[in-house]
Amino acid sequence: MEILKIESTEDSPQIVLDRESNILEISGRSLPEDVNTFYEPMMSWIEEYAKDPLDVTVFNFKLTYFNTASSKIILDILTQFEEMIEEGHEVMVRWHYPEEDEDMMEAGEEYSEMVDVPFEMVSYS
Amino acid sequence: MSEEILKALMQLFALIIKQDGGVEESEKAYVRTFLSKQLSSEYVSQYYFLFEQHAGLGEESSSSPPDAEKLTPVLDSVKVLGICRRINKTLHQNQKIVVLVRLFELVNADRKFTHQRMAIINTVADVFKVPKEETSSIEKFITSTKPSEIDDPLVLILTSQEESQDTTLHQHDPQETGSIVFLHVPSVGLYFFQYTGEQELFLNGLSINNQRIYLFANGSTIKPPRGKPLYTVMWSATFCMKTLIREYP
Repeated sequence: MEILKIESTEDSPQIVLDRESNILEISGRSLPEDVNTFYEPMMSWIEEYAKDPLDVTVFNFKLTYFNTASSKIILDILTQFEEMIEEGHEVMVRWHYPEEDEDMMEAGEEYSEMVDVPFEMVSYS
Repeated sequence: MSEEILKALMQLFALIIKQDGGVEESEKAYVRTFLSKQLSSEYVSQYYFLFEQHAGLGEESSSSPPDAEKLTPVLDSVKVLGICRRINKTLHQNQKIVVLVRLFELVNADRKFTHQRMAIINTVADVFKVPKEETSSIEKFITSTKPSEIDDPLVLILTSQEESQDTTLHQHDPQETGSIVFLHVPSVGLYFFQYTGEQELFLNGLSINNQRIYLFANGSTIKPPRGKPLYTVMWSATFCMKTLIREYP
């Protein structure tokens, strides 16, 4: 699979999806003007990846902020992982949050209650 | 409406209107009126308290200026998704449309259509899987300052005024200065209406308030001060005719 790499801007996150190197990560701030257009390549990549995933998929969310529209996209991604698990694949989410950011930590916990996907909460300073 | 859904709605109402400068008096009044139509008076305070808690009313110092530019907290966004998922599991699609209408109506109470608030409502519509064109028509129907001038394929207007747009039907009543504006939501077969005039109109025998949006449910009747009553079935047929005329001019 081709590597998908999107550089971050002030209002959009960095995305690195690299199957060969086992790096699946989104990081930074997410409040792009047109959320659906921005995330379309990522959603297509994950949909393709789900057809032939790695033995163990570990997806890293390392966001510092996301807006309401982006929160729905994150849920769509998690729902895709849920479907992969239902098909017998092993998927795990690492939810990284700044150690002083309780909101971001609780947001990860809320997501983990919404979908049947294992979450690992990782704080960083 | 079940206890669980009312609790979810109070939380949703609070999460929307606490954004962008906080809750306005007219919005609080809307929530109270909404509750009083669903519950007996002894329960209104109980649910209103829940709304206040989620909206964080009383937590901020009254001297602190509202932060109109503040971004929606990530936790609020995710909570909205959680509530919508719970509603998705409990309510039928037509009930979810009614919830969406009430959310637009809530924000319309103070006409504070800020980006953060509208982003939340549009995300709710997205999670409820409401077709985008219907969400757009619902928004236009509720938030327009001149409902009698809405030009939208899902809106029909009954008026005595001289109008020329193809959303308008005429009734002959020289004393009537207002209009009855109907919205059709085809995906669930629901109709809503609002009245812009000053005369007394009755929905199923009960007087209506011209500040509110009403569900025009199957079997309902609107009785204008003069002229013939309006039945749901008439409007269903009228919308069908309008669609046919638009598609096969």
